[in-house]
Amino acid sequence: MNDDAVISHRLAMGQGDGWHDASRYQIWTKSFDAALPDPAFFERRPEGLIAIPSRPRLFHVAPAEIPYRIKHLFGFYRISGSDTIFIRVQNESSISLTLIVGTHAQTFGTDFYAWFCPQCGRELARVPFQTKRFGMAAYWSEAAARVREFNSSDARRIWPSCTAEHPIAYGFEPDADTPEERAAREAW
Amino acid sequence: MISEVQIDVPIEKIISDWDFFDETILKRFSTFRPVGQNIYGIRAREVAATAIVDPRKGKLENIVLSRGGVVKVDRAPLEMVVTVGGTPHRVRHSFGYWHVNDMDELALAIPPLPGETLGRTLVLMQTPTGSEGESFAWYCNECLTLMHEYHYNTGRDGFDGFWRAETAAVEGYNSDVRHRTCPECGHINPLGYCWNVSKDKPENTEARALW
Repeated sequence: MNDDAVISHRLAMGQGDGWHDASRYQIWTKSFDAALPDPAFFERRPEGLIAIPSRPRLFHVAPAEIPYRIKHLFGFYRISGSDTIFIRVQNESSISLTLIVGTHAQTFGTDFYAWFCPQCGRELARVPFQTKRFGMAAYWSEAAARVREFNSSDARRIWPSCTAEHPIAYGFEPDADTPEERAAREAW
Repeated sequence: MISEVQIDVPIEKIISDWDFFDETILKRFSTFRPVGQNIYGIRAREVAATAIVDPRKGKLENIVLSRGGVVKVDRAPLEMVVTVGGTPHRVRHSFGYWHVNDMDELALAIPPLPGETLGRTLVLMQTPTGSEGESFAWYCNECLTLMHEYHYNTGRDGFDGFWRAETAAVEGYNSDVRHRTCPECGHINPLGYCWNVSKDKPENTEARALW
């Protein structure tokens, strides 16, 4: 039997900003002004890029290994060996988004930051991060540095046969944005 | 505005269950359904500010067994509650045993949307693998001594067998009054009962009303 201190964790949807350790679930939740641009959920399936409709009440599971991103929230695709649960609850004035990631799966270990050509969908870059070793919060805070490496390389931003230029990428923490990243966050 | 090229195909053709809260697929999760690395139970329920109500069982009352005794777990709409693996827990009048899961369980209730009467409740747990499993357990209602336990190796034998295991556990416990008699204080517990009310015999219905 466990001690009282660790038998349960509580977290209100939309309240808090940051990743929470809830035993073998990692939970992130935050509220957004509903008047701001829609933080839509995108997945890159084998068939192509697909937007998950932004219903006022949505429960979506992004399976392990499927690249996904949330528009205006992070400007890269996350690829993980763990399933990611996405919950969206909207009322008249706000949208609360929640991400839940289990750390129990044997395939959970190394996550990736990835970018794909916006035109032809080919993978432009994929950068690993040992999330199981360093923690979920570190994966997201590290994104800013990985994004800047990507942004600094024109070669990585352009797929040779397609020539479509990838927009400037941005990280997960808006407060850390450069002016260019802030503009990109508003744009895509 | 920058945009990425998307495929021009209805989402249902690519992802059939893209919204587990959707009315049309909700019934697939009416008990529990493993999908990928987690197991999901999702139901349409009355979700009010102070209570979550099951139409067949009434107001749901969650409790856990801690080192200090039985603790009531208040549930509020839009609040996620994670019960850490290994913690005995139950819902009074909903299932008549303590569930002791090796895996963590997350519970959440979402109020109805404008114009709806029922919201959604979710129970999410990690899919067990290998030697991970769960127990159906009974503690003395007076002194909390462990009296009877039935373990199911879900990781090895699969979640498909969970409900059969539950029935076997409850029937086994109820089959002999010695299982329900506390070796420490002599108290006799009421009978156990399954989660699904349709499995109730009259004596199970009586026990469900009691505890």
